[in-house]
Amino acid sequence: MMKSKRFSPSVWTQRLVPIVLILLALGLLATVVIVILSVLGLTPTV
Amino acid sequence: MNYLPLLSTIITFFFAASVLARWRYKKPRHLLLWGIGLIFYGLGTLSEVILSVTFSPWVLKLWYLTGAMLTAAWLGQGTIYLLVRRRGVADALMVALGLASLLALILVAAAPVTDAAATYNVNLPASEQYKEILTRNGLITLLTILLNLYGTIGLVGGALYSAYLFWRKSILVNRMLGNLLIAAGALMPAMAGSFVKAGLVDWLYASEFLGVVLMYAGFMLATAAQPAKNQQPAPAAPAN
Repeated sequence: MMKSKRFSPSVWTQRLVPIVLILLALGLLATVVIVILSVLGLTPTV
Repeated sequence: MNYLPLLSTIITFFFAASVLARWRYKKPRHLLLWGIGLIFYGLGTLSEVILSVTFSPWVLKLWYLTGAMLTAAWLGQGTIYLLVRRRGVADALMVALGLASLLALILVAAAPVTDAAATYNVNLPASEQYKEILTRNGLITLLTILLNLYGTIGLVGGALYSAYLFWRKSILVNRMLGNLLIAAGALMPAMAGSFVKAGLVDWLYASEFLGVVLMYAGFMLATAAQPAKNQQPAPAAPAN
């Protein structure tokens, strides 16, 4: 029989992981926004 | 000499060797592309080491080509191969990336170096001085931006998506945490590079070091064997 790779979610995996995921997604969004702003000439230099 | 890029270079080449050693067994394309992307990463930081000792226009061009243009895109292409299952899509994107990389090589090799090269200061980061030295036409700038956007969204977005799936299904905790570390690590130099391109703060050396350390730790964690907890089968999910 195949062995399981499941884990029992602890409090921190239930709450902290989504927060970290959101923060990292915001970081990715910020990076993309900065690049777009620089293309549009809205930052000091390109 | 600046020792932070030297440390980054050593760690990056160890990381690339680990990835390519795993690739040797079944030869999955995503590991080959990650290995190549990490070699570009290491060449970029190695160029910083050399440029902190002496100036060479060709080393500056190598730094710009590998560090600013190719690294993120090739790492991101590895993740595209891992996650995009639709037949032919990853291969088509690979052809486009290959052509864009070739064009980048030609354009950067042909880019003129200004007289400001004579005043290059080895005590300052190359990222603070390259704009006055390396003449970049609009196509180089556009390619740099497109390659970085593609690579960053592919690598960071792919790692976040994988981590989310593992979290939602409560499976493979090591891969979930590993992907979070990879996403955080990849985001650091991407953000720093964006700041440099935008003329904002310059923390490129520190971000490169922290970035590769986090990505290496994430890769080792994600690929580590995990002891089974019980006999219940796990649902299928993408894995790095």
